[in-house]
Amino acid sequence: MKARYACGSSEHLMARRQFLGTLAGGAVVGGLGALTNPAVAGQIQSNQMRVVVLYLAGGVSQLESWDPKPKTDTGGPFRAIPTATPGIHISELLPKTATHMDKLSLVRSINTKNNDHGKGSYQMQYGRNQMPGTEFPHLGAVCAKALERDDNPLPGYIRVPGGSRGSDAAYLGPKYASVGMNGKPPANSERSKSLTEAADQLRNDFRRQANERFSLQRRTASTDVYTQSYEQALQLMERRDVFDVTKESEADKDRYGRFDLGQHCLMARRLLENGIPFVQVQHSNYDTHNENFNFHFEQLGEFDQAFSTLVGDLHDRGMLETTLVVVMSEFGRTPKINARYGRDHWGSAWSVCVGGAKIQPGAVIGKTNENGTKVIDREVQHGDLFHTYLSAVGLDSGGAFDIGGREQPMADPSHAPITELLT
Amino acid sequence: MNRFARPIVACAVLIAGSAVSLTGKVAHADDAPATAALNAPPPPLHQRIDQLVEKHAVGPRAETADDLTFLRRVYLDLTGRVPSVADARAFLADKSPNKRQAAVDRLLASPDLTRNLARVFDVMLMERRGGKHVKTEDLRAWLQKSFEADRSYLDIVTTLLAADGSPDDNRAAAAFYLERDVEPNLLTREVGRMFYGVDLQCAQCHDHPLIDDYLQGDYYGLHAFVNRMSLFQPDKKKPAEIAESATGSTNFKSVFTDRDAVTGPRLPGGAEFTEPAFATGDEYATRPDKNVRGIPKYSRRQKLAELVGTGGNEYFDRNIANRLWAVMLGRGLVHPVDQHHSDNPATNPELLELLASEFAANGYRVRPLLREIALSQVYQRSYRLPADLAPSAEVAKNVLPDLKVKLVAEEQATDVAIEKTDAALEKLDELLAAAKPVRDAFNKVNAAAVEAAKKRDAAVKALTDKQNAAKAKQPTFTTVQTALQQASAAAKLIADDKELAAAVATLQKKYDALAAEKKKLDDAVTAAKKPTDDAQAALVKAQEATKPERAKLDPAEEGIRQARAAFVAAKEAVHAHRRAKALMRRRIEFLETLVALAEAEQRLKSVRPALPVAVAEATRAEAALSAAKKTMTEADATFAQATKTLQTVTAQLTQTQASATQMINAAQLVKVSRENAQAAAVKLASDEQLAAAAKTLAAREATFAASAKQLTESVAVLTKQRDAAQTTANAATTRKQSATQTFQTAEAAAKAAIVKRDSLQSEQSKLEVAADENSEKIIQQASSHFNIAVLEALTPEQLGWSLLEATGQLNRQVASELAKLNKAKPLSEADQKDAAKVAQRNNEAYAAAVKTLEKTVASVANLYSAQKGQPQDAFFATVDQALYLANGSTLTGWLNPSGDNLTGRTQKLEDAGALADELYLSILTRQPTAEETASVQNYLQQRADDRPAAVRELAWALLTSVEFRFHH
Repeated sequence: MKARYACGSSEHLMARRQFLGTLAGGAVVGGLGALTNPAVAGQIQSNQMRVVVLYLAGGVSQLESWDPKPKTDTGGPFRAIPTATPGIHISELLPKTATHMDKLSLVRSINTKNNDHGKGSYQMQYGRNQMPGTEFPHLGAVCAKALERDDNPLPGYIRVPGGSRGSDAAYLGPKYASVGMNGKPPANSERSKSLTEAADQLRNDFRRQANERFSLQRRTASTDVYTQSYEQALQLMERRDVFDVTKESEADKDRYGRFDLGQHCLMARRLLENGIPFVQVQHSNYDTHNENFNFHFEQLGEFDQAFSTLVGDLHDRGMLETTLVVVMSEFGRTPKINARYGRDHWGSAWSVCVGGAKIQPGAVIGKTNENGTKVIDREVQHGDLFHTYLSAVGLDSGGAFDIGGREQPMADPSHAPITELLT
Repeated sequence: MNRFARPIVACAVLIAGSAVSLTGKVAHADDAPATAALNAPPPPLHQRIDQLVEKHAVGPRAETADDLTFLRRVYLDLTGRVPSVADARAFLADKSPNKRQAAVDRLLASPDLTRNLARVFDVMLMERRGGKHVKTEDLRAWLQKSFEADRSYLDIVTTLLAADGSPDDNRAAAAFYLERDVEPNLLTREVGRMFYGVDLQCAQCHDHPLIDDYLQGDYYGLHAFVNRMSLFQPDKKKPAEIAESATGSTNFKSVFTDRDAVTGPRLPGGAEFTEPAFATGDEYATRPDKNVRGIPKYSRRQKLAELVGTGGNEYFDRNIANRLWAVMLGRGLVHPVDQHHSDNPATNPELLELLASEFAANGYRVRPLLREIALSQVYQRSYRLPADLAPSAEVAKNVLPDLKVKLVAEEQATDVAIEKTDAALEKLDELLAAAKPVRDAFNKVNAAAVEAAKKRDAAVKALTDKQNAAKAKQPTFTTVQTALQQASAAAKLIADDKELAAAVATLQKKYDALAAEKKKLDDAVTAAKKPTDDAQAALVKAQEATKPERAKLDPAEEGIRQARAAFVAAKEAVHAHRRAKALMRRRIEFLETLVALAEAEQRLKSVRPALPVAVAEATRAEAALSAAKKTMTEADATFAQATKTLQTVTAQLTQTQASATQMINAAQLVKVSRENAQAAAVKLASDEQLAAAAKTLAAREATFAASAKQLTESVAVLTKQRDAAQTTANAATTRKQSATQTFQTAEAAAKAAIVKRDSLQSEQSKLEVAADENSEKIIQQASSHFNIAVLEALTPEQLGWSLLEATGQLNRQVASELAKLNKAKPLSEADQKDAAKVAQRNNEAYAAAVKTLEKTVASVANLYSAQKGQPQDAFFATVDQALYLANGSTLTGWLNPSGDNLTGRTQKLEDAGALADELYLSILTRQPTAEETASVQNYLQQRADDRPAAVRELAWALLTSVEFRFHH
């Protein structure tokens, strides 16, 4: 009676059961406490997978970045330059990034069939088409939950820049919703002036003792999670300066660039180093209906410095193996150059850059035609990319979360990861 | 009702057939002791609840909870907060045997109940949506009023579903639709979840991948009720309303299969029905336009409300019975509450049926059902499992084999039922395919009718516009006409007034112009009449033309309806089997876990005492081994020494023997020489030299003889010594051999003892882990079967109000409101003596305080609740929450001593025992144990420097404890 399609196949069900049964890290950790299988828990912990997304809002032009088509009718004025991976050429606007292309990979065959900002940004960040009446969690919330570690009291999903809590976790719950970072420590993370540290210690001891006594009568995963949240709160109070980017060295501030994106990328490094599983940095102003080339020249100049420094640092510090790096937009830009030297919205044939974690370095997936107006090889959609991101950090993207007894697929079940991009 | 009853009854019988009672007897549905009771009124519902609980009970069950646990529970469930310390003390002091029932009745009658129900139903139905078009507080106020008036649940839901948000309607009730933006897909999902307990979300694009029961056809059946509605708000400054179209069918296509399908409106578990058909162009009571809210003659929205209002849908009844059970027991019989499907049957289906049918039969009144649940034994169970699980495991062992046999039979029956369903689905698909060309043909002619209707509407509009224009001109014309007549009359009277004549001329000119204009307008009206008539005639003709096609389509659609009904019935049969199967599996799992735990514990019982014995034995054997080793080592040394001595002595002896032999031989030779010399000397007596030589030889002989003798003596001594050494060596060898043997034996014994000890140790720890895991499972399973009370976190509202109650902040607010009221409207001296007036004043103050504090609770709820529009029942704890209570100014403020609040009154208590008592009763609604009192005393001593701070800290620690945060 079950519908017979990919996600209902027995292999898939097996994988899902297995996921729920063992790796259930994702399934159980957030809602209900400890991992069911300590062996798997250890595995995740030692891997310490993380994700950093650079979101180029407005829609970066693939032609001025990852898929240049110089000397064609659509190519624009910029040249393509060779990179650290022989055979891969990218736009000359990204000279520093080019030197890191041996660590990064490209997907050049995205077709999201959509030219709307809102819909596109939902597609790319939530991995699905927006469906009326249904909310899904953001990639960051999914990662925050699935990569959550008991020993990390810090928020799991941070947006830079930002101010408030987002409501982008849907059924995963506010615990995994984004926290906008404005350099200030979280609310209430400072001990009240009227309470000494010693007194706080004492009252917490009394609380622990009361909980111990109660747990002898009855104890559940939920009571453990509740108890633990106070311990995490105490840990967080000790680590308030994680969010203070001014603690980074002057030299680093220079290297990343003394402009917003530079400092935001430095912040991202700081957060990733402190074990935060998902950080999204936003860079804006790529919606270049006018003066596409001038704008890209300016914007990508900043991006090139900040991004290449971040990738270099992650690599030098040995973190790239466990950190997925994604550069995405809501869509690309039209190959056709309009009368105002602009390029318009374009979801039919564009690119993202990925790297780190379990992403094959130096790979190119898919191809567009000579002047970039069409995907001619290995077309992928946002759903496939979403699966790929999750797989790249060691998750079974075909698995499901168990939220209060309701099973919620991690990613759109009608899509699958780009396996050839994964190691 | 009968239409849907069959599969349910089938299920109930199946479950009953496999049900297990604690006595190990297999219960049968037909052996109910009810035959005699046919005439007698049935016992109260709470007793029947307990009978069914008992009938289907599996596994161990908790005792009845103590008084204070009960009191806390019933306060939380009915009023939404913990009891005050005064209420707790009064309940303790009350010695009446009926005090629990009295408490339930008192709370059910209190205004806190309706306030709490309003909150509970708002969260249940809206999941924290609100504020876009209808304020949450307005909806809550409406709900509260409804409960105060004892409106039935059915009435409330009917009102919600019928609401269109128009000003003459109830705006608050329209919140259900409006706050969901009247978005049809969202409404489909939410009507399904909230009122039928089914989440069809995934069935929107394809048949549900995880749940077999939910099909696209079910989704679109429900969708058809709501997909013609839309949010109507042409002016953003005015409140939104709900418009509805008269047309719009639900066609769907799976994203996975290419199957085309169409369905009419159909409720979960219900059937399609024939709808009134209006000729194309005649469907509207109010035709929709840009600024006109469309109102069809036949509204599917109202049909939905009407169908709900009729009652008799068991999906609907089960859903609400289950949700109310969950409100009281902390968990649904079906859990989660929006996941009614055959793989997730109720833990006690017969009980759910009873609750559903009784609730419906009793007019869907919420309060009486809550009362009966609260009075049941199952509601009053403790949250602690009995310590000894062996007896229930014994029972489980006996019934398991039978259950397993039944499961196999059920599995086979399911397969048969599935085959029948497949056949029914094929038939439906066939009819759907056959109907497609007929529908297309109808749509084609109907398109002409739609076009004609549009033209007719345009013509009517043109006519109306022209009529309006003509009408608009009429007053001016009439005025001018009158003026002209009067002026002309006047001019006739005063014939030579030039000015008057001029005025008449002007008026005449104006009149002529107006008359021409009017004629033009009138002509236009006349001219417009014909096209209108023509358009109407064309429409009628077009409508006529659709009739033959309609006549073909109607039976085709009726055929589809029947085939779908047959398919749904076949599916229901499958569901019944699957439910029974799932339930059996769940019970088998529970019982097997129980048996496994009991076996582990049994084995532990022998392992636990055996282990220390084995440990002692191993220790002893190891000691013996090391003693034997020591003995062996000594024997070895002795043996080596003896052997060495023997060798030395033997060597000496051999050497001495050789020397002796040599000496004897030498002596013999000298003796012979000497005798020869003497003989020669005798013959040559004069030879002095010879005589001297003989003498010398004689002397040597004597010396040699002496030496030989000495050596011979030495040999004798050495021989003795060698013999002694030999004896010693022999003895040492024997000892060595025996010591080695002893050692080997000891070594084997020690090895065996260690193996035994280690294996027992590892077995014990394995058993302990298994026992831990299984007892965790058992606690889970026992609580999902309601054998023990469910341990659930307080809802955000319960937490907020309980914090306010426990800290005394609620009382402070009431006092301040009372003071305000008394200042604004002082009670006269007479009134102050009138108990009723005083009570009324107190109630007013209380209501005002609650109203003020709702905002505070809303901000707490904001931090503790799931995202809006999401299920609100999954527990989560965040660092943010912990930080809020640890460092936030809110709780810190409430814990500042002030008059009679918690810390204020507590810190005045000199005696540590009394202080602990006050804290525990106020916060945890129980008295502290002796150990806890000692801990409090100890804390106070440690903080003797600052007693007020100590009290604040103790109160904080208890307020942030698991025991306070959870409902138990």
